[in-house]
Amino acid sequence: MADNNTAMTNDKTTHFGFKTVPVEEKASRVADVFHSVAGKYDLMNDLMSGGIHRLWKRYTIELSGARTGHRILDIAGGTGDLTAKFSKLVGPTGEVVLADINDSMLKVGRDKLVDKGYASNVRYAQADAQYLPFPDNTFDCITIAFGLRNVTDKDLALRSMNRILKPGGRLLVLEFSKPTNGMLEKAYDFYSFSLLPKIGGLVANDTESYQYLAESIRMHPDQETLKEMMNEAGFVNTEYHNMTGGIVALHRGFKP
Amino acid sequence: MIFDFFSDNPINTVKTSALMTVESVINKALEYDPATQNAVGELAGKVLAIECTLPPLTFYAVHSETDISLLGQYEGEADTTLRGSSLSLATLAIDGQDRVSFFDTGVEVRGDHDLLRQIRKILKNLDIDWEAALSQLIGDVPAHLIGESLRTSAKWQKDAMERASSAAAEFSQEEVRLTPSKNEVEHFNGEVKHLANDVDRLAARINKLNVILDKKSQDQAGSNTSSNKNNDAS
Repeated sequence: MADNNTAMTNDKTTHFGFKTVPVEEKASRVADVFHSVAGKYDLMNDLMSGGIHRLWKRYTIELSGARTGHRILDIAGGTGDLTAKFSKLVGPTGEVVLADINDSMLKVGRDKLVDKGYASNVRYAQADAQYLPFPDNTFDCITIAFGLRNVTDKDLALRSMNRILKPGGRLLVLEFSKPTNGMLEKAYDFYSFSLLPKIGGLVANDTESYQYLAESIRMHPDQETLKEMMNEAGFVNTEYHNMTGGIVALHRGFKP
Repeated sequence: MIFDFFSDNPINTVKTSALMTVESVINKALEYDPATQNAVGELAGKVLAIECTLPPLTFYAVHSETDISLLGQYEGEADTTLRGSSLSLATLAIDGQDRVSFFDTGVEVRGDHDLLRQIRKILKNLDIDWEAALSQLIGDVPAHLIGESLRTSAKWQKDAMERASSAAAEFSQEEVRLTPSKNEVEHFNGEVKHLANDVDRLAARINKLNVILDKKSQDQAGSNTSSNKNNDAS
């Protein structure tokens, strides 16, 4: 499977940024990173992307086809940006589930959403994307924004998402990817490995976590590989849209 | 690939950014007009599609319980679709008339016309509390001071306009006698009306005299004819 080439180097080890770690350690190491950055996650997103992450997410919402009465799962929903918008679009007859494996991120997201008045149609679940605790054929749409690269076994997670989608439902994967332009890639590398950890150090007082973020982006499958992985997990009509010169790509696939 | 900032279609990025900005401004404004926010909430779930022909731009206004989302793409069916140039769409939005039909507006309306009427009613009754909005940025007291000075300035402007208009009329009527006063015009109108009545009465009298004269001349002509016959007989 494609994941064997990308996420796991062999049966017992996997990537954690540029490091190779035992499979069972990756989840806890990723959890430590997000426990560390949770409090300043939104601020850092704005600083790191210059606010463009809002456009990336907006485009994800437009391609989600969300409308009144839909059930939507926002995996690795973090601080709830997508959930907030989906909550409005699905209305009182719909439901949005904000899921995150990390309880710190989930708490920050839940507090933020409740403070803003999103309560009636939003549920919360601390869940591992590889073993989603929902019945088969439950959701009209699943999104995972900037979360798939942190999942230990991406194939398992994609199959799990496919299982709980309704037939005709869609999966949207918004994730950092490979820039399509050589010059842009060089500038992006300089930014990621030289500036980003320094910004992380200054703002969140956490250089290592942002170093990991940069490394994990480089280890994530490129556009075509991820598309192939989605096909192998059972999705059809799979396509991707590059954004910001391929720095980010939005993959979309449907459950047949 | 679409939505690529650097190569393929920067228009989509501009469109998405613009829609996000406008949506944010609209929803911020709604926060400061609770009545309008409630009215928008009553349209929750309704979708208005706007197809602008010039410049070519299509977007969707999706109403929720508390605000409006402006989306560049929407896969469901819109309740109402408006199609027209930006000018005619803007005119329709702000003209404030209660319309039964939209046929002469230059905007093609498809779907639920009542939704459009409700949205226009909401726009007409929009009353944003700008002072409250300003107070979030600079605090209550400075916002109130600015609000007060703006209100005073607006009142002064209105009064000044009224005073200038009154002074101009007085100068024209009293000083340079360029135009008559209101009383003079009314008196003149009264006299013209009176003269018109007199003329009408005179015309009626002349008409009456004409009728009498005609009758007399006919009688005279009749008596002359009979005397001539008598003379011939004798």
